[in-house]
Amino acid sequence: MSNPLLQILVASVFAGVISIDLAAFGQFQLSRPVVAASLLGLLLGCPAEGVVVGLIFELLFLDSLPVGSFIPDQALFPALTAVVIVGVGQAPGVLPVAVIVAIPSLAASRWADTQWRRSNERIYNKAEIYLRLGRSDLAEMQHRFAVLRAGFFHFLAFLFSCSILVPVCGIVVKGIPGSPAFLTVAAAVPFLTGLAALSADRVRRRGWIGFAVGLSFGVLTGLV
Amino acid sequence: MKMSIQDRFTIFLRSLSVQGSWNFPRMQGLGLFYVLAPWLRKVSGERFQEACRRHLGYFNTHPFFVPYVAGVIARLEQEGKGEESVRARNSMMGPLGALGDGLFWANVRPAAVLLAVAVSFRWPWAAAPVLLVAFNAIHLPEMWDGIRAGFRRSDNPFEAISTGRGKSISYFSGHLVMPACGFILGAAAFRSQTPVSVLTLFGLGVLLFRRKFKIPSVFGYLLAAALLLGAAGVRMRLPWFM
Repeated sequence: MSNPLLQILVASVFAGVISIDLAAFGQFQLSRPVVAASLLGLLLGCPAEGVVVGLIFELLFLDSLPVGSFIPDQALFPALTAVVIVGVGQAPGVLPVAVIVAIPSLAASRWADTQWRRSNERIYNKAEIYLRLGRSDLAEMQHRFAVLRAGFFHFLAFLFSCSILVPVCGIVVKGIPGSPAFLTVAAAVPFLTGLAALSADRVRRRGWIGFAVGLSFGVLTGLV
Repeated sequence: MKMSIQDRFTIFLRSLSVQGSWNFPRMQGLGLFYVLAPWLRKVSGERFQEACRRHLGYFNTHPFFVPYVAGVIARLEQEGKGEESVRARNSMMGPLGALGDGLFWANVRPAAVLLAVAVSFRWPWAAAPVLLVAFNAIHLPEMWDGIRAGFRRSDNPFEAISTGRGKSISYFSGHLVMPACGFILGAAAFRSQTPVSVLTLFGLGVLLFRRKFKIPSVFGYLLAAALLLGAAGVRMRLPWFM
């Protein structure tokens, strides 16, 4: 697959399908960045970059939890966008640029999620009417529609965000002269952010003994 | 009447999509109706429409505990205790929501993610399968067994919630998170060329988060971090970028 437009379209369909796993069906964690980005990387012919991008975003959003009715930002769109940017060759060898440029796609993800949940209000009202009319089968059908609409909204949002961010990344890469060490460092930070946020909360619960044991093993692994 | 495997499978499969029509006013209301509809059709007979209307309303709990609630309702509806099933549903959703968030989102998921990241140091390709297996090996059996547990304990539903398995999962995954964090940090720091910088930055991050440092958004944080690091001139080479 060498046509960039085709790659973006395929990635958008993939994003639409996999985003159903975010909330609408299953929650098998197929929509976690490390899984989704790895799969898309395979699809677009850049499996190694897919895994790396997935791991970076996984760690950045490690502490982003859907507790109660709170709907957190999802790392799915930025991870997939970064893979698309690498896949279409807009950031050759400059993965960190792709990671940073992909982050604004969070807004598209948020938009799709809100639109889907709002459209579900209308679906609920319709289902209520059908039930009052004694057509429970049609009320059930409304629920199935709602599941599919989750994918549709995310497909549209991803297509839109990719069509903006992929060319933007090309411009950013051209605008950076020489080695973008600064961006490399900046992109390495997300890796520490999620770990620090998660650890800060648990250190209070005397998790530091476990942390120290893990750190020792990690240091040994890193040195060997 | 006993619940057959087929009935149980139908409830299980439909429970997976309980949030499929999540909306702000009624949340999982339509989803719960969708889960229960085939069973109500089977046991309610002429009172089917009435039973459906009873269970189409406000409902919100942790999605992985919906099969448990459905099991309790299924039993009570079968026994003709319609109003009691509504009371049971309303009293269970809050506690189960809190329990599920603490168990799955705060413990099992971070533990599975960190396990996957730790594995990726050696076998990067294995990260995704490890995450999927570690999470779903707990999530799916909890959902499947929840239907039977709820159906059996409909007289005292809260008793069955606190199972030994749930406690062990919570304990084990809760205790796995911090060692895994330490392992990832240690391995990444000492594989990079500047372990001191990595550890210092991590320490700074922990301090900031402990002081309830609120970030306006991820963009703001990345920008601040990029400026900070750029200004300090730190050149880290973390393993994934080498």
